[in-house]
Amino acid sequence: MLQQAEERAVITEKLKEIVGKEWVSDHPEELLVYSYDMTENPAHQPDFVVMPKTVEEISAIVKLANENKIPIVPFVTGSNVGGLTIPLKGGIIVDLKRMDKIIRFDQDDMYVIAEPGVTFGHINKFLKDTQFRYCYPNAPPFTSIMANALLGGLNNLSLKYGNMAEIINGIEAVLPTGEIVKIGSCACWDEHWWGRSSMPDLIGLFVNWQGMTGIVTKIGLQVWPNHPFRDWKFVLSNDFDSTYHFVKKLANCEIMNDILLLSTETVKMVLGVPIGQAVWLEGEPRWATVLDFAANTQKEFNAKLEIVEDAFKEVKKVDTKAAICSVTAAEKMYGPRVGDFKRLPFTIGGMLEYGGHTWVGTYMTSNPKIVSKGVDKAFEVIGKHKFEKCLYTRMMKGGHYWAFRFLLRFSKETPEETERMQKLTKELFESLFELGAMPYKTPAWAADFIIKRCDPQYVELMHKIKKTLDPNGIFNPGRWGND
Amino acid sequence: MSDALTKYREELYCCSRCGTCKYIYQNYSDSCPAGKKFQFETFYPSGRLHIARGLLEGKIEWSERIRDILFSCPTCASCTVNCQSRHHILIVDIIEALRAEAVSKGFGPLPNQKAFAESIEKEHNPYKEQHDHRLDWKKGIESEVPQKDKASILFFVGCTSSYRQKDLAQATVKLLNKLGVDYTVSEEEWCCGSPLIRTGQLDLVKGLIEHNLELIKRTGANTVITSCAGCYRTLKLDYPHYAQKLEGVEILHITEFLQKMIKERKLKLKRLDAKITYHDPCHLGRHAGIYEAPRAVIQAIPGVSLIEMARNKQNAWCCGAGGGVKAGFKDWAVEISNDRIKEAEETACDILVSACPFCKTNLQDAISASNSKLRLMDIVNLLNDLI
Repeated sequence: MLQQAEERAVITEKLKEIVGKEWVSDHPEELLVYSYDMTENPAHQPDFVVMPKTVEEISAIVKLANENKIPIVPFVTGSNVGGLTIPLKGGIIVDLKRMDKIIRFDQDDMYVIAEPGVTFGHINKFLKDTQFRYCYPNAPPFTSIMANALLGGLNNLSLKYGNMAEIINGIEAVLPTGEIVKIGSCACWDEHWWGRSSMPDLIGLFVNWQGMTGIVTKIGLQVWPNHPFRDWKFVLSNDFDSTYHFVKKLANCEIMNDILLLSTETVKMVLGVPIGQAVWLEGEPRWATVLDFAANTQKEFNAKLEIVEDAFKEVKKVDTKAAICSVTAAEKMYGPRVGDFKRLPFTIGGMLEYGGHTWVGTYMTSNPKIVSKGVDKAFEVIGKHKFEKCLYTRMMKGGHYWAFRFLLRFSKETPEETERMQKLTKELFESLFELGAMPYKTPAWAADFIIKRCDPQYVELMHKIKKTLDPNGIFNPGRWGND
Repeated sequence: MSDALTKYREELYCCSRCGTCKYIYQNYSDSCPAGKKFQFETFYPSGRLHIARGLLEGKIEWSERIRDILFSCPTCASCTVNCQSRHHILIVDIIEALRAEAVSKGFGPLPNQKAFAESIEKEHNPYKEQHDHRLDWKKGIESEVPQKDKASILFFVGCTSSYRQKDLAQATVKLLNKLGVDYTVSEEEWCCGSPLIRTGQLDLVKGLIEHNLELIKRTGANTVITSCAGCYRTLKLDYPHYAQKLEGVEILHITEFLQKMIKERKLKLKRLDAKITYHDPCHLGRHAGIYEAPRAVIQAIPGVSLIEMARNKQNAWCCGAGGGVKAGFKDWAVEISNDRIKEAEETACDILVSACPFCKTNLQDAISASNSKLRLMDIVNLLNDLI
């Protein structure tokens, strides 16, 4: 935090010279609103909020920040659920939402080049009348596709392709010292952003670094053809182990677009039940599995369905009350909001209407014993802290790993409730970490926990890279052990 | 702690700033004029609620910046449609309550908006016109305007039609005459109070409302018709909050009345071979839920083809005039309207029709500023020409 008013005034004027006076604020109102997000992570105010429109403006801001050793934090919507845009050391928030163009759509190589401000909603609208689609998380539509890719988020094609970082073709970024760099095939040809093969892959310098290594200004992201046949099925079951085996078997078959395994509490939250009432009641199905199918022909679709029904017989053997049903039937049973799963991207109203929302979101082994143990342990911890057991899981990349996360809503009306949530997320995360679960969009406190426990050589290498790229340590400081 | 902040405390803590209020839900076009223009998080509906939280928690203090943030909202209510959280319907109410709070703290309204109150107090209209000239719109059609004290319908003309869009007042009278209804107008009509309520200047509001309600009572009318969407919203939705509801008196926008006439086959319209697009005034549409009546009226015209703009009905883009923005941010109000004019042009319509004189003023300003060839008409003028 800059202490001297005079110093602040000078920087404010210089920022205004770069981006124009209407796009810079050091007013207490903006500093407050940009100081926190929907999570339980503690607030911290920036000194300035600035909204550039061009790469050159960003480069100039970065150079100014270096000259004055002012921290700098990239921001688009701040809805990352990890507190990642909270400026832990103050400084300049660079709000990138004015850079909101889809610069190119290449149908041959199936990718788009997008600026940071392009959201899931906007890509959805852009592709609506084409033969192509993007992938969507169960997140509000107005989060940045770039941010979600750089932070390795998951989506409704994660079963096929893994987390979103794996669909990045290339990037353009402003380095912490102000240079503009391109990575991927676009480094050789501006007209070709088809991939990142062949050359040493430097995309990783920006993935999961949480804005510590520069500001990405363009990103090439893959899109996929729409299939003419698309449908969803719901499986309602009571036994976790048999349900999980069913999910894993289907994942290994490589026939599904997506498989979500949810607790009943999560379904209830999606349905909009009030906070505190998303609880499983005796007699209700314990688990809901959402299966997302796509096929090129009816014959292919029917064949996939047959495989699913065959696999489901194994569930029925141990869970006689388990049932498989259509979305229409599920909507009739539970209400139309259940069908939102096929209308991505959508805002889960019940999840976001209490002011506070957070998660413990991890990727972990898909080993059934460990997964099962993880569910038991997590439910025990959440129950102890008296929050809702909203489990949201997804098989990743054909079954290579497992996305295991808990969606946690809380009220921000009192600090006590936030403190209770902080205690829960910490204990829950630590319990899952012991089982081999690694959080993504990792909050600063969890990153601190991890670096004390992981290979010290890894930590040293990470810090060396950081130091090389960001000698003044100004990019999103306070994360992953970098102060 | 202020009344406004206390009253809406629970709602202020519903917002997680998920961003859904920023755009049309599952359509993804811009929906918030102030957010689109200023883009800082603070200028979106969610940002305003979080400013209020900051005030409530004592983390910030009232300031001119807060004034600008609050008063830049045209209160178009698009956020109330697009926000998916449980407080959605109250967002505009909260913003208006905060404005009232800002005024009481000396941080509002904007200078040009302050002039509303001064003018209304002195002349009972926000336009700094003499009250004695309120019925000047009658000039040239004096014999057509009813002089009676009592009638079953009161045509509540409104300040904009009385002083700025006199042809609309005249067209409404001519239309009502052609329909042969028993109605009257009153020279004792005062401003409905909308400009004051929208800008948080509440001191005079109760007096205005009591005056107008007394006037309605005196005429013995069982129906009040207005051709102004702002007056309609205020008479219908705001008055009951400030005074006892007038039992047995129905408030109708002229389009509702005309729709009724069409249903009763009392309207015989000439043919018009034209493509028309309709702009939903926010106060009529999102605020009061009237989307179908104006469309039914337009579609009743033989030969007319109604073409919708890309954003229509609950998703209609605001004209930019409302909520005091026309007075407070004159150029920007026209900038908002420009977007709407472009959208209308994209339909290749022959006529852009609206149902509010205040929308018409701002849309016309945008047409002039952009040298658009678009023909703009109020629905009443359109109908009056075709009977």
